Amino acid sequence: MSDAMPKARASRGEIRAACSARAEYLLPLLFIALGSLCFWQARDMSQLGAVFPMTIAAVMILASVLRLLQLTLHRVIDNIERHQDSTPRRVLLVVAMAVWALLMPWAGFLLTGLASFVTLMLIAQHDAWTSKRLVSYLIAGAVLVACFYGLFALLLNVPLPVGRWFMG
Amino acid sequence: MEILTYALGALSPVNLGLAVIGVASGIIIGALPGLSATMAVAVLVPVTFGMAPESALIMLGAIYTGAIYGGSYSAILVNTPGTPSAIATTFDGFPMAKRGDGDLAVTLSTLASVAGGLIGVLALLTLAPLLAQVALSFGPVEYFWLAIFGLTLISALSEGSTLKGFIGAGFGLLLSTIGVAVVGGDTRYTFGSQVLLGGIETVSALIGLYCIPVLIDLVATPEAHLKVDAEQRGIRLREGLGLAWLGKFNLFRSASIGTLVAILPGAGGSIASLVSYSEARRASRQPQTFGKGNPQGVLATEAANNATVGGGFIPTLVLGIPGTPPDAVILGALLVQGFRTGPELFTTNASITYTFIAGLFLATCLLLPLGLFIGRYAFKSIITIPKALLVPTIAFMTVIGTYAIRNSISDVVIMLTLGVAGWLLNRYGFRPSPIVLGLILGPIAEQGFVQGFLMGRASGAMFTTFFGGPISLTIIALSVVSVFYPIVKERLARRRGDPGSLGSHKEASS
Amino acid sequence: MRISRSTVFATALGMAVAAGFMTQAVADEFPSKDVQYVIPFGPGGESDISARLQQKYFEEITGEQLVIQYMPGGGGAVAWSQLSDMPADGHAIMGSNMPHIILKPMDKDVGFATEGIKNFYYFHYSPDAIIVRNDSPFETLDDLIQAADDAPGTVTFSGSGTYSANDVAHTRFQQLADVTTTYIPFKGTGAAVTALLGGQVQAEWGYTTVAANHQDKLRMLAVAAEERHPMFPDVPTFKELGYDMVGGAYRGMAVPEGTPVEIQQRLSDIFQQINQNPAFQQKMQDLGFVLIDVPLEEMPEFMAEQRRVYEETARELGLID
Repeated sequence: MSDAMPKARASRGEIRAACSARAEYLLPLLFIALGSLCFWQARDMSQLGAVFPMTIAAVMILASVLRLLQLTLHRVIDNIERHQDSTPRRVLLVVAMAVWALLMPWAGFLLTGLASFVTLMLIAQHDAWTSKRLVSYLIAGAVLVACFYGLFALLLNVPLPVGRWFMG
Repeated sequence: MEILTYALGALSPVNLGLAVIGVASGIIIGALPGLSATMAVAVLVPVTFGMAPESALIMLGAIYTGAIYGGSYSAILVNTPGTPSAIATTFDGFPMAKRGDGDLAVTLSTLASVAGGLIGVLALLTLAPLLAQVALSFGPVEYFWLAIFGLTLISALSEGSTLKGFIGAGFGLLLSTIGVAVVGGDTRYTFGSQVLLGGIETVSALIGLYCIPVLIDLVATPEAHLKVDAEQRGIRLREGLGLAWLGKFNLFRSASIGTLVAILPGAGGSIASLVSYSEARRASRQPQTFGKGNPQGVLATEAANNATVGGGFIPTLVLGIPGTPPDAVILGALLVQGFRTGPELFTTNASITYTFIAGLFLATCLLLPLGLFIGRYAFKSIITIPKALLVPTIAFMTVIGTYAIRNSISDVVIMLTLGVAGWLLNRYGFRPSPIVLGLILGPIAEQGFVQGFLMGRASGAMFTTFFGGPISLTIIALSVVSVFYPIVKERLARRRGDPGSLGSHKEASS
Repeated sequence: MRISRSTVFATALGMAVAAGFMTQAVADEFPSKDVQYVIPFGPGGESDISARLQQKYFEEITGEQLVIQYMPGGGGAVAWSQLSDMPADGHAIMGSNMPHIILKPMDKDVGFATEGIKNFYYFHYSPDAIIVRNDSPFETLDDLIQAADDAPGTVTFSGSGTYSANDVAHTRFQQLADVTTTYIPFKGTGAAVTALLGGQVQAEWGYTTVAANHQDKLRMLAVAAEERHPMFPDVPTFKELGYDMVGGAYRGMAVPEGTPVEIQQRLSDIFQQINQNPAFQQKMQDLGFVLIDVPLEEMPEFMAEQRRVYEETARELGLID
């Protein structure tokens, strides 16, 4: 964050982008593409099934075109106030959760649950680890996973995946 | 007063104990995203078979009331609405929590829930047969216009560019068409995948779009999840009561809207709190503070969504048409207990009906002490738990909660995908709320439109079908007002030579 | 290594006998824990209500609980496509609905095949019926047919879903009576009956159960059953009126493929026993259902007959050529 630039609002005739100015143009284009794809796909549907998605796709394309017009009529400035944070951690979080979801049917709820709890814990920790902290967090994590398991599997009768690898 | 006899009869120590247990466990279940009131009630039903009928009814009502209220915790503290009716709670609740007023927000939501819940149950007791007739006068066309009205709220709700709001809503509406269509039977936008046949489950989309972005941002910085003030302020009940007293008209209006809209089966519950919220904002002297942590926003939505409990039971009990999924489960339990819906409701069946209503009253009153107590605990644990434990815990709730909705791993994958897409879109100025609004209102709008179209074609009068009814015309008028009111207001303010307060360009206020 | 043929034979025989004893023993002990009962629809529907009624008696008979879960989506397709992933030990059963399991996989890939759903018992059905409001001008079925003849397409029916039992019944009736009417699909029976009660449509394709639930406001013109329903002795059947229509929504239970036959037999016996309970029968009748009794051994025949009927209808609907 740079404080050199005043936190000024965009003046009349200017639009401040949510992120970079380029992205501000790019996203409406993306939605136009998406709308066109949906419109194209709707050809094969029955009349009753197609009327709604076609209308919506058309309205979305129209709104995107209007937005592009609005952008070209104004000066678009980059948003320089946005935070620069740890992108690797964000990506890691998403990857860890995705792997977790995909492995759960195979390795079962308890195993993947414990593993991902520890992984996510490591991703979320910004300070240095001390052995005491690590141990206490691991214990807390095990207790939490056990609590969730008890609540869902035993109290609420949710059939949590056992894991196809162990089902033989 | 017949009800008093039944109420007193219901108030045995055992039943009181069951009500306390029901409300408390309902709050806890409702507070976990993905664990819905439906599930809480469904699990309880077989347990109630072994109970005396009145105990069973009291416990079912208690767990339902508790679960609807408990949803506000996850909305306020982790920005995750557990049910569609809690979406609007995140608008002001989460910003309040972010700036360190989470405790106040929880207290306010408790007070509003009690007030709203009582008004809803009162309406159920006194106006049920009358309101049920109102519900019946809503046909497909009226539902269509109602959904359109709901969509016009986007212009009031979207911060930043209104056009972006409409693009987002279009995206949500298209998402809602995925899967097998109810009308027409087409398989749409599944791209050959069986996973998408069942469509996108609303609650898992809510979890993805609201909670995953919070998680993604949570790991990126070492800063605490919520700002914490050094001084301990307790539950801030006095402050909360003061704000509730200031907003007494707001509370009453929101609860009335909540009750009235909730009598419409299927659509009511999700729209009620949004309508209340936008009305509270319209009536406010500082509409620009809404969405940034205005306590009145929390009061409005929470009063409305607990009022939907009583309102939703009106069509359920009078017509036998359940308004929401939990209502459906409870109706099933009532039928098994030998209850019949219809005119015998307040005559032959009076004992069951009045016991059930008395149970709802009792549960709503119990919300006050139990809610304040559990809420305090929930808030404390969210702010004291270190980040390295908070992140995996929330992640756990999202994954297992989504899975539990219909025991589907595919739903978890869809939830994650939507979450990442939602985070990216939010970064580029497309907020999640219009997308979710589109997703929820899409099926209502589409079915209403196509059914209306078929009706119009059969009667040969398409125009009068869509624009003929007084209810349709009223809703259309409301939609027009809702779109143009902000614009007109801005113009008027400008003419008064006061441009500064509103910002020179709409987007500048974001 | 050389192993004589007789050794192989003896071993195989021994194993088969042992396996037979073991599965028999397993079947005798079954169920050894709670049985998970997945309803392929949301709560509050007829599948749910009847499951709730079975739940009580299941516990009385076996001592174990029947745990009801909802897996709605795609008109049942979401649940049925996951049946094969469920444990095949009998402790997981799923509601099975006719004609859904036959019609759904017919024209498109919905993630399951009719053969993959191993039905072990079908216990009741709700006969199709034409329902009108009490104040409707249609006093008899002939009144309605007359109105449809006078102005084709103007008589509107609400019903639950497209390519559903209601839709099929509507198509079939149009052909038998040689009339044109408008069918308006709604999401579920609840929404369809709301439209009828609110006067948005003139009639509804529903079931006897709907009429039983709304006796004070609705009446039936004709019922698609073999005999008149004991609860509605004044309502004629379609057959009496000269239309060869018997059908409705049949409900039963199924297990995943690979579930031992002994277990399936045991499940079939348990649910047959529930069906024979007089209290259960009375409740079912009060709700408007008609009990049927299709145990495991009669299932292949029953399924074959239903397939024949619905394939014919599907051809008329244009689902298959």
